[in-house]
Amino acid sequence: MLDKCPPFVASRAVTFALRALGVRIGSASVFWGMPRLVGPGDVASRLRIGTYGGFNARCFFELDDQVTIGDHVAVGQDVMFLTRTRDTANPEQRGRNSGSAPIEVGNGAWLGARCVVMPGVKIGAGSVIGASVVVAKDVAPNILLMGTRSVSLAKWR
Amino acid sequence: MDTPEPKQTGWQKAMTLLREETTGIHPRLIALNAMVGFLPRHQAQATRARMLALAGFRVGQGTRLAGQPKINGGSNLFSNLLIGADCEIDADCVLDLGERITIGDRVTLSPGVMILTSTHELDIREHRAGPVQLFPVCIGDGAWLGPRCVILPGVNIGAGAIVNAGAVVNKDVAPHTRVGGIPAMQLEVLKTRESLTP
Repeated sequence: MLDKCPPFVASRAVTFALRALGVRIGSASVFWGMPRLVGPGDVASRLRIGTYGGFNARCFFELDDQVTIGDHVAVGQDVMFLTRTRDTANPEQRGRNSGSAPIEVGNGAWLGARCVVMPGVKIGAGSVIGASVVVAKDVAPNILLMGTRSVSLAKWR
Repeated sequence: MDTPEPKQTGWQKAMTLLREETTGIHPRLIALNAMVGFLPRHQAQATRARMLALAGFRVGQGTRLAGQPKINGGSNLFSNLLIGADCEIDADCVLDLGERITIGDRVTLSPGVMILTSTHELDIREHRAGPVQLFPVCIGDGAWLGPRCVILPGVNIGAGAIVNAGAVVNKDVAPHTRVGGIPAMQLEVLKTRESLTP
């Protein structure tokens, strides 16, 4: 029901509903839109969020494993947290499910819009991730990570 | 001088306009979206594939869809999508069916993958996006397309290739290689069955 609710509307109700579902959300954390929680079994128990967090609209959590988010974390629109790992060794099927790896986001981190956080990644406290960055490796604390450089490929008359 | 266009009567004009405005309407696709729209995401994955086959797309056995992909395209939409057996297609994918998209067997499409088939001819500087061009896309058996990658028109992805998350693929990908970045570059040559067993 609440996922049909437009973003920035009834954010307290959305956050309350998530708490009711069993997601551990610290005090004063707000979801500005209903995130999508996906995974086998009891997904809500695998998501843990600290205090004073802000989550923008359309966040996506693939909760095959624990996703732990610290205090004072800001998350932009369309951010994806992926925990399902793939077995790439099989040449017949490169994308077969092979298990899961947890994600940890440190206190005070800030993730820009359209980020993708890959399985097993730890983002250090106080780090800032720019918009539309794919975070595939661990990020040290207090780092600014910004996107791929646009290279000029052609010059026309 | 350009030859002047033949004069159309008001009625003919209205009919042309109506035809242009309604070519994108596919009753079977609308019915499909209405029916699977009630299914929650990541549930009834085999049923979604069955429904897609019922609507007229060719979908192989054992294929699973976590969410209804956004499908758009022109007149012969239903013959333009071929999906093999035992594929895994995650939610929020976008399939642009202006031309044929061929997806092999055991292919994994992660969430948010976008496969495009329509582009523009490069035109004069006053109007760079010229007439629309269509190119087919082919994805080989066993390939894995990472989350939020974009496959541009005319690209062939080889069997057993991996496209990293967030990559934009603008040229062909060799079989059993890993590509990534914008534009996608070859990062790794993967082991095949032949190289595994000497």
